[in-house]
Amino acid sequence: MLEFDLSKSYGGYSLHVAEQVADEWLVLLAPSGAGKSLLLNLISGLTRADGGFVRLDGETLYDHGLGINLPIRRRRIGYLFQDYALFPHLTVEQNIAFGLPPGQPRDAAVRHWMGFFQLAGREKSYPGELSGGQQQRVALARTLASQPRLLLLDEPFSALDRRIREMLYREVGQLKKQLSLPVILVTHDFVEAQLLGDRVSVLQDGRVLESGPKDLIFAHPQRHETARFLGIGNVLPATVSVGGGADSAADPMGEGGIGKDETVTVRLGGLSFLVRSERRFANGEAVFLCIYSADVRLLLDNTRRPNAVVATVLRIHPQEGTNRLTMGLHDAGGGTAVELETLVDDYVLSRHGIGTGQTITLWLPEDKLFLTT
Amino acid sequence: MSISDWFPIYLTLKVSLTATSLTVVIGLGIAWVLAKKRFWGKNLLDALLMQPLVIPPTVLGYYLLVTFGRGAWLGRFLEENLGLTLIFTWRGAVLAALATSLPLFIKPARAAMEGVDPHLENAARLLGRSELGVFRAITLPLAWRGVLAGVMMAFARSMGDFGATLMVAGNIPGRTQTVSIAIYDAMQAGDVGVANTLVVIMTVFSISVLLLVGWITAGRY
Repeated sequence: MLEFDLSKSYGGYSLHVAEQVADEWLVLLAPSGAGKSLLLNLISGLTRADGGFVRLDGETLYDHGLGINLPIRRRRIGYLFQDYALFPHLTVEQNIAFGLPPGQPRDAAVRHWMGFFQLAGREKSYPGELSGGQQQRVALARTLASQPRLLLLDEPFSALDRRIREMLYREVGQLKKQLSLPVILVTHDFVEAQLLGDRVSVLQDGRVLESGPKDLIFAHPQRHETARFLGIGNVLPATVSVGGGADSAADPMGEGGIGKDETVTVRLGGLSFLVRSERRFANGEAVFLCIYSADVRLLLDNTRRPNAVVATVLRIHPQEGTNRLTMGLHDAGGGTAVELETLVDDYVLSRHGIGTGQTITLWLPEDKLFLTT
Repeated sequence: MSISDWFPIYLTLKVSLTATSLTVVIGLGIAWVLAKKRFWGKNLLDALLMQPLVIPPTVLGYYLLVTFGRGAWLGRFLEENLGLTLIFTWRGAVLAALATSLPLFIKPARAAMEGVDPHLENAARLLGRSELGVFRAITLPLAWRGVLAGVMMAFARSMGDFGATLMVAGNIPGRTQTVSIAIYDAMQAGDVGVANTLVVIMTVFSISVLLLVGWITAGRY
């Protein structure tokens, strides 16, 4: 179990993050410059924090108040750098054996990790002779061979091309099943968060914006910044017209409404949408209406349903068997000020001859829409 | 040339090898501190260490005389406690050679150590290595070309010192007369044959060292 509460500020920038990480994978999802790498450096001791503490398995590694700051070499933290930091003058097996704890049989450990990461035959190679994917595997093998109590992964896949990255996701997914230690993975890629995380924390400007179990965060983010960051295609500013629940006026902030299924009506570009919500909102409250692009349906038979809107195809971006369509919603005045994205398969597109400028009816299912603040 | 004419070459080699060894031991530490640590007064320390490159050798010799002479506190301390007399002995020549060659070693060694990616050193720390362990396993092996270039430059410089050596060790034939001073002496005495031989030996040696340094530093990982 890792617990930390760390702060650091310099030059107008400040970071303050507190987390508890059990034997699970916590993904810190953040844009560049949000302080992801800095946080890992503070936990590992590479950068000294201004305040707070780090405790790992009950041992205090750092405590500003108590004046404790354990040397980096005694922390037993496995840290995988973005650039892998392989020692260029050492062979693959020397790199892997570098951090072996004293007394550990060298050859057996090296063989084990070389086998696990399919590196057999490259023992005598130097890092410069390996591909990016192989370097990444060596770096992981070296980190794990040192038997860390905590694993920190700093954007480990960002430098790899997609094919290698997907292969490594599978391997790391296998590894995940075998490891039982706290792991923190920092990334700006929500796909990685979805694939590898047990829990996700979204970081922005040095603060945790939102944190929770992966499924919950992806299904119902609470804030629009999080929603955008999770790759939700449609995050649209809207206004609540009917906050939901008979007593919504008496409980305008809706704290009492959490856990209930409410139907909230929101206005967006002169159109009204019904949204199923776990909380109530005050009438007139500014919110963001969110829906994944894949959840926006095409109503090709023009049946009338709640949340069905007429829209014009503005742009089509083909992407691997599917197409991202930018749609302009028709408002009461006949304009298309509000844009919405939807995904349409090649097959559907060609079968119905959908093209730019065409008018289509879209359906935003009530249970797929959600609101964020 | 008589047997005694070869003594300066023997002495010069002895002085240079001793001075270079001391330069490496002292200079590695200083180069590492300058390359990897941040502290108040670092620029001043750097400027002081580089002084022998720019001040006249006689001025350097003068400083060494007033610091290590019998009248000076440090000189007396070394003589009374360690029995170490530096002035007008071959050890004085080592001191002069050390002072002139130290900056020539520190400069390339420091630059090479600065060129070692701090990520690699941090990775080694995270894998359980102490500061000395990181230096031995990562910094030094990756900076070796610069360090070796520094060793060569220091060795070549300590072979050829004249001014500071003359001030500190004097010109005592058979005791403190190095090749550079012997060449001057031979010219003064009109012994062109000895001067020419020593000049050719020194020139060939210096060119060889520079070629070797160039060859070593050309390679990259």
